[in-house]
Amino acid sequence: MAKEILTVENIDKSYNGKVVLKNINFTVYENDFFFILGPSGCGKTTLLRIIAGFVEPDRGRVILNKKDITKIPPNKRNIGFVFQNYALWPHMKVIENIAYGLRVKNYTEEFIKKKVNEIIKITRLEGLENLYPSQISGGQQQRVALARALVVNPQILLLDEPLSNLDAKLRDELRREIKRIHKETGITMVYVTHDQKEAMTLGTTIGVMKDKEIVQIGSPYEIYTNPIDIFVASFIGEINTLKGEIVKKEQDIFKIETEEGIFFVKTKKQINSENVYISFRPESAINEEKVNVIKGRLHDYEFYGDIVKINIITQKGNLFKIGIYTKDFNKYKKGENIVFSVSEDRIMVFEQ
Amino acid sequence: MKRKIVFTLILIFFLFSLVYPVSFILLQSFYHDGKFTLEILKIALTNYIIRKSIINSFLLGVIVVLTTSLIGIPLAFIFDRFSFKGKSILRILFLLPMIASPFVGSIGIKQILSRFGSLNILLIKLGLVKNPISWIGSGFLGIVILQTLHLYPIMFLNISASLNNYDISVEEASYNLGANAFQTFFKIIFPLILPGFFAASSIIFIWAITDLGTPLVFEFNNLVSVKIFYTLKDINTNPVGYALVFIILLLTLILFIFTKKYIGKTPYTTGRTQVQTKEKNLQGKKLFSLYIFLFLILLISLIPHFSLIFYSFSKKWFFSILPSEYTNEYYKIVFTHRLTKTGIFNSLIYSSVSTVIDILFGFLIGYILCRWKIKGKGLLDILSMMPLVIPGIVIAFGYVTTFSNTILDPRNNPIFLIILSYSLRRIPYLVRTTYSSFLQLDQGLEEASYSLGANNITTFKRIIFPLVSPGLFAGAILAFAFSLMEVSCSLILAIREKFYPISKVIYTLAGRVTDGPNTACSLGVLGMVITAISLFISTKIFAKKIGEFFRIG
Repeated sequence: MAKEILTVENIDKSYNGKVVLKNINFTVYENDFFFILGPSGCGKTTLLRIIAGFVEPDRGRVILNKKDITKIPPNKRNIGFVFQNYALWPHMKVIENIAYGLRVKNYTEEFIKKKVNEIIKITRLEGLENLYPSQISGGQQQRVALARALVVNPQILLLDEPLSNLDAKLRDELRREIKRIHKETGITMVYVTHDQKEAMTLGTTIGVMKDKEIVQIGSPYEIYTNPIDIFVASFIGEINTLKGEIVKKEQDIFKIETEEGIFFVKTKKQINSENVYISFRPESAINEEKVNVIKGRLHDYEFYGDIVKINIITQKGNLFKIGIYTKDFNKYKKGENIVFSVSEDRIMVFEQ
Repeated sequence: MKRKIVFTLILIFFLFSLVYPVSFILLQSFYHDGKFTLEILKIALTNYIIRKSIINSFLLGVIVVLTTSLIGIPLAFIFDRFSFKGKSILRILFLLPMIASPFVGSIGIKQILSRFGSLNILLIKLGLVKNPISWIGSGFLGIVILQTLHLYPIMFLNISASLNNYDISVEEASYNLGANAFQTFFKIIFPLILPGFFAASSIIFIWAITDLGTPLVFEFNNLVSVKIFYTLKDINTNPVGYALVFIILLLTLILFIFTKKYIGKTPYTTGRTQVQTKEKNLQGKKLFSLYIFLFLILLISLIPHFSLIFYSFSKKWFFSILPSEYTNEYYKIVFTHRLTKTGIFNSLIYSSVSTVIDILFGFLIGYILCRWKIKGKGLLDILSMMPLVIPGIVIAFGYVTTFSNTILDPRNNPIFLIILSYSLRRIPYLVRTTYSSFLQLDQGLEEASYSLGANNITTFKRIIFPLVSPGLFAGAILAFAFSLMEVSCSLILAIREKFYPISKVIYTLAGRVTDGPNTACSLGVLGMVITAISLFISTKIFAKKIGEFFRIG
């Protein structure tokens, strides 16, 4: 079992009577790249600010390396923080921004120089040392923000949507950079984002937040393949959904009646209601007529490069998205009728 | 805990310097012989002369609001809608009328408008009139002219800010839906600039009716402000002064609350995400007439300043348009004469000390308002903006009456009260500048410092102060310059000659027959130059935002 670095226990927080966080619990292990993923306004930034000490929780504890730090001021926590807008000090040069954390701790100039040079190499900021933040690009500013937080060797690094201010191409580039830096430094990171792609590609663990609460914690794979509810399922990736009613259950096979006919679903999940949603991912459907059949007309398609998502409209008027490889796309024509089926263990069931 | 102490100290400052004297005035207006009474107010309102003064003051306020609107509003539209060469310089030049208080300007302009002044001589020489016209008349017209020329920039700045607050797309949307220019103005533009108009009007109105220096120079005594000034001499036997101050206070508060509420309720700003340029390029005749218009206004509004300068250099200026002989001896006198030397020295001391106090309080209050979550913040916000609204004459009156026969009695030694009044009256500038600096200062910049292990003091020294200091500096310069030339508190609180600040020296000299007015003018020009330089530096630092100093709400 890996070493526990950060534990957040029973955190509640409200502002002027308005609840923003409700009973938050999770643990981050050493070398983890922990993601807090949720739509905007769900409280994820507040949670991060509580960990950093900028906001005091109404209830609950923050434990860092087995030490309760809930009441410790932010400057005594040794937690790195990368701000959404970088928060670089405009009156200091790049090198002064980076050295600041070491300077305030009164290290020798020699030591500071060594550490700063090291981090400048890791973050690839060579040559920009003597420029002011306003003179460098957004991507470079982001690297300075990272360098500034990393140079003091924090026990954990918190990142608050660090890529949201960058354009798509830079975002991809810096995402890889952050992953590399995580690998090279081995530092434990907690990263807040609303971008599921970021969380899936970078994260070792994801905590999905919905409306003030963490609803599911798991690896990206777990969360994608076994989402706890329809919100998580639809927030992470795409799903097709139908309303249905359980008519029979034998061992772990459910027989569910829907508008589009009978579906058989195989799951070990405990379902306590007769009214359910059944869902499947676009890539779970195959172009064969077996069980759980969907028949319809090819209405439209979205081209993604490696795959194509085709939209099928059934006679009842329901729309389904089916993912196929681009190399198979020439088999299909717009307006034609086609048949797909989804195997019973690839369908997810959620209570309504 | 520490926060509470700081907060309490600031509140005590306002209680002592503002709330206590104002409450004292209120109390004195309604309590007589230990009983609540409306008697004093009744006496004030039934006395013919007093009633006339109230009506005159009210008329003066309304007229000046109208005249400043007539100049300020078109000017704001010109600067908003057209682009022309020299626009940014002209924008600053139109702030120039504010560098000399109308009180100082009126000394100079008397030379122009008097019976045998430059204007009449010019008109007679041109053969336009035969007998000299009495321009100043009773003095009322002179006051209107001086105040208008001094105050129209406030209207200009406020309307400009309102126009700046919305995107041209709201007008385009109106045209797009079929409205014509007329409809668009009355249905869209007018409602959008109304808050700015009200804000400016309130300031101008209050300013006009509480101006003490100008009517004193024009010897027009039937105004509330002058009556207040004279009743102070026998305030113990004649309590009418309290009632007059009460009336002014009431008017001020009504306007303040109305403006604050009105502006608060109408957050008419459209997110200027994409600022489209609404400036049209002018050419040929149109451009030419625009320049003529602008220069004419500028020229007229600077007449008081020019006349002041000419007067200060004139050796002989009788029956001629311009002085017939020039000299610089009055500038020598300024630096050698006992009275002027005392005045300059006193003003420098008073202003520097009060500016230091302002920097301290302004910074603290700006920071608290922006960053702390503490009970009573709303109260602090109101208290720190009140001095902008409450006229100097009210504060000075309050100080004299409240502290008479105490250790602080200004008849003995007014230094403490003068400094207190100066610092109180300029605090809003510093609060505004620091507050807006803090607003622009992303909180993340401080938090980043804390997260890297820096404590409060280091973060303050290394991050907060360097980033806020330009704003603080700009505000401090303005506060210093305005304190240096402050009129009403200076005239009222400095009773003994050895404590006179510059303004009172100018007033005293202007009343002396022979060389007095010339020396007064030289001193006035000196003050004007200092104010101009300060305003210029502040404008450089604060760019267009200088208008924020002259707005309420």
